[in-house]
Amino acid sequence: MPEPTPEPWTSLVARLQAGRTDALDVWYRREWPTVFRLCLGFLARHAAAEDAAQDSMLRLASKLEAGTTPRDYEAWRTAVVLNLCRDAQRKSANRARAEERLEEPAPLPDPADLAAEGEVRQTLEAALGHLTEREREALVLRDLEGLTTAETATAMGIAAGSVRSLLTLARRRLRSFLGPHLGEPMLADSPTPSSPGGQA
Amino acid sequence: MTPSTPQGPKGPSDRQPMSDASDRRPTEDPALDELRGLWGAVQAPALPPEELAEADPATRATVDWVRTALIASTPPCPAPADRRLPPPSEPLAWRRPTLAAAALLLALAVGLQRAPQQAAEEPLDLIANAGPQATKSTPDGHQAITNGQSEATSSPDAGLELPRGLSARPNDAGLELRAGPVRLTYVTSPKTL
Repeated sequence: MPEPTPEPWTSLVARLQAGRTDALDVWYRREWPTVFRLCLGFLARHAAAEDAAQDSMLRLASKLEAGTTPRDYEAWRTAVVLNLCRDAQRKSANRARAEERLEEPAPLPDPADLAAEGEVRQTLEAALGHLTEREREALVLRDLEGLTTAETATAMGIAAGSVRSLLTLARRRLRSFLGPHLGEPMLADSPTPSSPGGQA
Repeated sequence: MTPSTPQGPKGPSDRQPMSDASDRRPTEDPALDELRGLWGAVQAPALPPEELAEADPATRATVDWVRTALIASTPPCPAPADRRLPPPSEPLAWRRPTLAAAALLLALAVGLQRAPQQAAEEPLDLIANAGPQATKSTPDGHQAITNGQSEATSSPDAGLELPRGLSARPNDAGLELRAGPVRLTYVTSPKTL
């Protein structure tokens, strides 16, 4: 049976701005998977992505409730999430530098977390972490979220040619990193999405 | 000093780049040479690197794996109690009084200026006494109503700018307007409508 067509963004945003609480819930459920995926792709760390995704949802909801009516909703949302993740990345880097100055040892990961984290997630985080911040942004927007090169360039605030270069480097790096980790048979046997929040 | 021999990049497609080949000299740095090779591929007009990569099954499989792994790693949507959301506020409709409400305020203001006593006793007559009105757009995107004597302005951001002496606040039925002894309710509530 074909899936029902989702409510257009303009209609959902209008209902949300009229103060309909059910619209807020519909909007949240619909946006969460995409926003989280973007955050995880940009930040390459699950815990940081969860925090950034919650902050992104808060910021998006606040802007919508304040009357923002974006012409292209999805491009606007992606830009808001990207900016927030860049801020988070900067703060994280500053924190790391401060911790280095204090010469405190890095906290050990909680064994329970390690046990809970699947191999797929660890490999994914390692692979994304292998890329630079800009390479991740280009890869996530162009290859994983399906934006065009021009849209990716606009979202990142760079030229289309730079996007192509970043993309080429990101793909190469990813392949050279994941190849030995996964091997050809595992690459062919992609992980199965099992999360209820996961949507293509 | 021996000039180095110009040499084209060795891109994946073995095409000659369209740019000046004299810029492309072999270096001791393999990474730089690789970058130059990539740049040659970028400039190859028939097959840009994106398509090259997409035509490569192993690279495509890698990207597909990452995409699927991202989806699989997405946690379920947080329960309502666990969501970070802005505190509940008045619906936006309350903060955007309509042009009709602005017209009503204007009529009230003009009527009060003309006959305060009459306004207190017969507030509804004030609308008829308001005279011809005209709407206009202000430079900052607001809409204003004027009859030549007074002006009320509605704003998409700031709400309604009230003429002097008037106050407005929402109540259960709609918008309650006050000007001295006069109280008028403008019904705007979605429930009432």
